[in-house]
Amino acid sequence: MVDGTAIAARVARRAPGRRSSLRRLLGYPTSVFGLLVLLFFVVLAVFAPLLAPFDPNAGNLLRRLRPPMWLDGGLSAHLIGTDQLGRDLLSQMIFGARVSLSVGVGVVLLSGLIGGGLGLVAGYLRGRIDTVLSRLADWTLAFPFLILAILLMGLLGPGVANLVLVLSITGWPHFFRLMRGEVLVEREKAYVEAARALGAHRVSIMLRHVARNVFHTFLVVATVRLGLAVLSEAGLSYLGFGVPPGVPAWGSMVSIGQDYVETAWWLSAAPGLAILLLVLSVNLVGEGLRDAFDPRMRP
Amino acid sequence: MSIAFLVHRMLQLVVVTFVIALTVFVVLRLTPGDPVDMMMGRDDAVTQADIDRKRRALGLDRPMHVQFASFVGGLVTGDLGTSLVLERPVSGLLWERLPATIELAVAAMLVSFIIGIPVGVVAALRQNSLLDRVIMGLNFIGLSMPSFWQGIMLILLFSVTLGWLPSLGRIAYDLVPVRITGLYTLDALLSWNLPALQNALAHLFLPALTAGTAYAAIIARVVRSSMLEVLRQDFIRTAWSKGLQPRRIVLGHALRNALIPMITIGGLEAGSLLSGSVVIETVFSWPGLGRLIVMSIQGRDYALVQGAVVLLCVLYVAISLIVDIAYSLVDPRVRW
Repeated sequence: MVDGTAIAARVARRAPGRRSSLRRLLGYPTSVFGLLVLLFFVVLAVFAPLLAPFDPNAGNLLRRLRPPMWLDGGLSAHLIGTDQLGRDLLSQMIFGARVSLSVGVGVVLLSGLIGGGLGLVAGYLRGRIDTVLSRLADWTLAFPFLILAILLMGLLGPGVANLVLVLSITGWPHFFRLMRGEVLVEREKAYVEAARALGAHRVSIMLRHVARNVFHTFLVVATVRLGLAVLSEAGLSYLGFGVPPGVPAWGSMVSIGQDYVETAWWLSAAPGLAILLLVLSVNLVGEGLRDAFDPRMRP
Repeated sequence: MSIAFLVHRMLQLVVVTFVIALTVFVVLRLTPGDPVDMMMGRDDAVTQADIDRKRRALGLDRPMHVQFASFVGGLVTGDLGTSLVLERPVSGLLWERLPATIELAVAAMLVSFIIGIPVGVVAALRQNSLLDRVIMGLNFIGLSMPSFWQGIMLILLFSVTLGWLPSLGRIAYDLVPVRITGLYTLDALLSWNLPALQNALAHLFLPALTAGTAYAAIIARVVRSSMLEVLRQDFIRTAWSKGLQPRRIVLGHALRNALIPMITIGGLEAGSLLSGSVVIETVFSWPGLGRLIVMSIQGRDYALVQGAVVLLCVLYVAISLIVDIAYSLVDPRVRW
């Protein structure tokens, strides 16, 4: 007997040249730049204990508020200066990359899993479950996101895991809406009908065929949401609702630096620049992915 | 637009408000940290009887459902209770702070439109040129920049280094104009108080620029792609073949049609500006609702958080309703 699921899977695998899309992505200089910068931050985050010249929390009050080494008063040991407690700013920045990236990736994975999964189910099954889930997504989106995030962080307390949870609670509807829309289109296509006619189970059709064919859209949304998650984490940390005191995070470093903006501008300038670069690199990769998967979208 | 649609959306607004009120209420009650303990401090002179008396006075000793019913009842009558920390009526505090948030949001929207629309038009007219690429590059940077950091960098440049603009607050204390609307710039203008107007505008410039830049980037992108789409349509070709002036074609025909999506963007922007006011107002110590929310959450000021958050959320949802209505008025093809 012919295995309908296997045939449909083979058809789906051949769907619009994924390999050539990746080649196209590497053909865009801006995307390659974005990928390299992103890779740089990933390396910093992963190897932070090896790369940081000092313990990020070890202060030396005799060396407090030293400027970057190329300015008057700077020390060669502290490349971009020290903070108000004499802690090495570079080491804090390197460890800060861990918070930004782990929250960003965690949020994309969790909200993508929840929103993408529910979107797949709602779009494929439709009916009452679709109505209920769509309404739930609408309710969540009706709430101003930042206010909801602050309230929930106040409830759960500071921490990386709580940040991931809160930003996923507020972020899943974005994945949901997009995936649902894509799946609604896909479920009417011939390959789904073929799989259904050959007796494939609906869970198998959803996971093996439909999910595969909407994955490229998911990937593009995931990069956009990654950038937004990094910005949101930074914003919450800036407001004091992010990570606990003592954990170096770029947003809270900018906040502390603001108090010294007249005398030690580097304290807020450096971590903010890191946030900008990370988000910019993610957005460039996202833009490249979008163009690579659908060249008609290229502006 | 049908009456049924309006009634349906208004009912939706009421239901959303109720859900928001319930969410805020529940989240606050679940949050660790008792507001009365925080108010009384750790003073040894404070006895349990004092704490109980305070709890009774604030109505916090009542069962949860009674407290919630009283809160919802207050929403209907406009009595939002008394701030636990500031010990003043919440509605009065919100009334004082709301104009500051609205003034900043309106100014930021103006900034974003003034920058975003011309930039988007120029980028579309010079598609794929060097200028277009530079604009799109700057656009990307604008979208990737954390607004709080941008604000601090602007303070560093314009206030600390150049000394041109004030960095904090809404206006100099001795120049506050007579309250008519609560919007200082408008009040100063209405009472023809030019020193106050100048000072208020100087205070408003950096926060508005900071809040408006990210949206200017979004608007420029939307206007650019919308213009590109419109410029390829038949009626534009007809306009060219009629020999109309390029300026008239671009501004009178293309831009007019390309600006329709701006209603949605403007609505979204207004909503996000209200929500995002929390960050910008913190950077510039702007005495608006956002700053009030942060302070009240930190102080576990239940009544104030509830009132401020619900007000902000209702404004947010109401704006989306206004956008829907405006859309069908501007584009007759849209029918609700």
